[in-house]
Amino acid sequence: MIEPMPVEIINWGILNEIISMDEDDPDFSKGLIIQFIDQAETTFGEMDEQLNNNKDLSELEKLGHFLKGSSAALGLQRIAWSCERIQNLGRKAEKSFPSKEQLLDTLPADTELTDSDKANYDKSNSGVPPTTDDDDLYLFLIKRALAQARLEFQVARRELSTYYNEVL
Amino acid sequence: MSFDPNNLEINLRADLGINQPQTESMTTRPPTEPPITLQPQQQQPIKQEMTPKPTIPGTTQTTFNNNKSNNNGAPSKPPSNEFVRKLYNILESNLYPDIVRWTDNGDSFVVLDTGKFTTQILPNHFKHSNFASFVRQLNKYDFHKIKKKPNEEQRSQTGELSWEFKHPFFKIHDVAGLDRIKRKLSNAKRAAAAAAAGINNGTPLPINAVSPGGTPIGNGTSASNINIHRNGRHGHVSHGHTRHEILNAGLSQLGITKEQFLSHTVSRETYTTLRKRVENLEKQLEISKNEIFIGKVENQKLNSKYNTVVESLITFKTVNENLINNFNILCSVLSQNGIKVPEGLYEQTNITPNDGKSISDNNNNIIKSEIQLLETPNGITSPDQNRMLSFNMLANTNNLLNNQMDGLVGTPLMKETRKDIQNTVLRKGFHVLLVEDDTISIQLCSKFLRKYGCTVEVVTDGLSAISTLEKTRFDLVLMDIVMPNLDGATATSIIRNFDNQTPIIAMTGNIDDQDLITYLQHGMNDILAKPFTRDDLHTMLVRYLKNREPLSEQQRMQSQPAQSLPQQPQQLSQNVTPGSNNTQSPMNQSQIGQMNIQPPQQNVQTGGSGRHTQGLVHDNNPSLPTLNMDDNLGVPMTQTPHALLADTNFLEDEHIDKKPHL
Repeated sequence: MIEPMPVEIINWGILNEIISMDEDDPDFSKGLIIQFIDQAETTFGEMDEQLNNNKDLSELEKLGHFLKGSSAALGLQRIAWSCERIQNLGRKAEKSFPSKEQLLDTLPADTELTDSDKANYDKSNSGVPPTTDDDDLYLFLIKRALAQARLEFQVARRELSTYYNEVL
Repeated sequence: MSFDPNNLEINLRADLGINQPQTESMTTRPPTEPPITLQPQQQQPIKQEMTPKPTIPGTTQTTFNNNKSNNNGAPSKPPSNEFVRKLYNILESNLYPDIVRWTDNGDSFVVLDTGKFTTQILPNHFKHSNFASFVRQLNKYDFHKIKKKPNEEQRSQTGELSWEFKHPFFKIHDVAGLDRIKRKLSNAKRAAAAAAAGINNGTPLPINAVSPGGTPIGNGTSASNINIHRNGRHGHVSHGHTRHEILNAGLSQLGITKEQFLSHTVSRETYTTLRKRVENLEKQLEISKNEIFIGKVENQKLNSKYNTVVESLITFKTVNENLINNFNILCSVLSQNGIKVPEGLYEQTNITPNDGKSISDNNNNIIKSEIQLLETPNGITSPDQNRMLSFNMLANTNNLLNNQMDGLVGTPLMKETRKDIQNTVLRKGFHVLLVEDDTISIQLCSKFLRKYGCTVEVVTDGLSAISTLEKTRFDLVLMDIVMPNLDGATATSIIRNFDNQTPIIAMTGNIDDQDLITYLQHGMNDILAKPFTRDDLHTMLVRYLKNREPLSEQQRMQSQPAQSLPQQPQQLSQNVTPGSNNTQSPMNQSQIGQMNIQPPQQNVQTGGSGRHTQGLVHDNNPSLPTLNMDDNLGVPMTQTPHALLADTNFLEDEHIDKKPHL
């Protein structure tokens, strides 16, 4: 059973604590966010590499776990949720992934998606799932989860840019 | 040397002229029996020989009757070599020249017709029933048969069937020479004669294996079948040596006298009885040996079974203790996170709700009850049963987790507890090792830790954590689980081999119930679920570092002269004095303040004992110092579910879903 996707893009309870550290150490939280953005983009690229070439599920599991940890630490809970799916699909602990329609419905109503967001999302999050039970099924599902993670990352990044009042 | 005692005994008796078995009264003569004087008996016949009796036909009868007269106390005795004298008289009188006569030389005699000798002479003059017996008697007097040589002139004189006998002193017309012809006396026969004398004197001797009539040995020649050497020397027995001689030779070879030999002789019946007894004893011995062997095998089996049982008991106890510890940790975590623990779970582990006792006491109760379980009438608990029990415990724990885990993550923490913990001021200077591979988590966590006054050292994998802890002691270790090189759980289990004191807290996003149990089984004290808030971290720090002296401080204090203070630091946040009422009264502000204004606590402990205690594991060390003022100290983990439910702030949540102020 897959736990439901959190509605809030950012868990402010968590992020506020980090931001509170800025009192002693200005830009502490922003520095972490910037590190995370860099880390996430790198990790997404590594996931693409695994999906397209090595097709190593255990590596995908590790990458998913890694990005889940840092995103969750910063309160970026929808990214963390998507990464957890990748992790669990990588170790075959889950065998399904919600449809993109279901997931898009969970986004806050005020969330605006850019055209490129939608285009990339649809591009990676399509196709007919393999009927077999082998790795291809999990790779297909991870590909969809990765598309979701990227979409969530773009949404969160925009919200964080709004909060810090600069383009991150 | 092998010989048949049974045969020997009978032959001896025959040799001694004993015709009636005396088995009823026969006993083995004790070796301490005083020696019997033999001289009179030996000398007496010699005296009589000095005056030879007139030889008349029928003296044999007289001689035999003489035995009876001896029994009646008559002093006269026949000469020991009467047999020879009788023969001499017959030859001298030349009554049977056609049957037996001196040879021409006069130094030997010849039996010309053995058949007539047997039919005419033997019945009248000798007691021998056949010629062979007569020859044997001659042999006993050291007569030797002269072997006939072919073409010898005597052959014509005496005929083919003649038997010529010779003795050095047995010569024609030589009466004096007869005195020198003696029966080859053996000690045994002397003893027999002596024994006979003893009977005659009315002094019964223990040994009756002799002729009751005191038969003169000289007449005791008969069908002696002495064959002590029969088995080994049968082929060597010649006509020139009687079996009696062989017996004597055998006895002398054995180095014992005939007397000694006889004194150790028992009757056939006794022998048979004894042999049967010996056989029975041997059988019993064999049976006993078998029984002993079987017993040894059984003993070994039982030993191995016992060892197996003891091992499983120890294993079980260890597993059980671990499970109880883990269970208590989980209960504590659940309680602190505001999750009600089902009462049934407590009942199963003998923890009664509202019980004022501390968990540690309950631990003991559980262990006791488990031991009682093991001491059921069956007595033996197989390892499988142990595993069953363990699995039951695990299953209980798992059920608890399954029921409650969903609510654990992101569940608002209990406000009351949080406030208390937040208000608990930790000492500065705790040295914390952060084992984490994610840079963002490292920065966050170390930032929080420094905020709480800790000094932080960071390593990014399990191997580095091990090597760092080998070199340096830390007050606390925060350990990620999934890391490169070596995961945190495995690293902890290795660290526990050399450091069983430093609290190690797992930081993990994997809050799979099975994972949690695994972490605890690896020796981790507690679990800090990722993502964690500042308060989550602080709660954990308070739990393990509250009232504790930072190691750096301890080291500094140790270098100074120690001052003796009556109040000792409380080593365990969970170290609740049994019987105290603290479970019902959570710690309040004033108490905390009171506690914090205590003078700097001296490290009165030696070594590292008690500085670190593992989580909720109660240290039973009686020397463990306790805080005198802690009677009312509230300890979150000791709060029962009822206490938690009674907390009105239980469901309050202040920190979640708060948007930052823009």
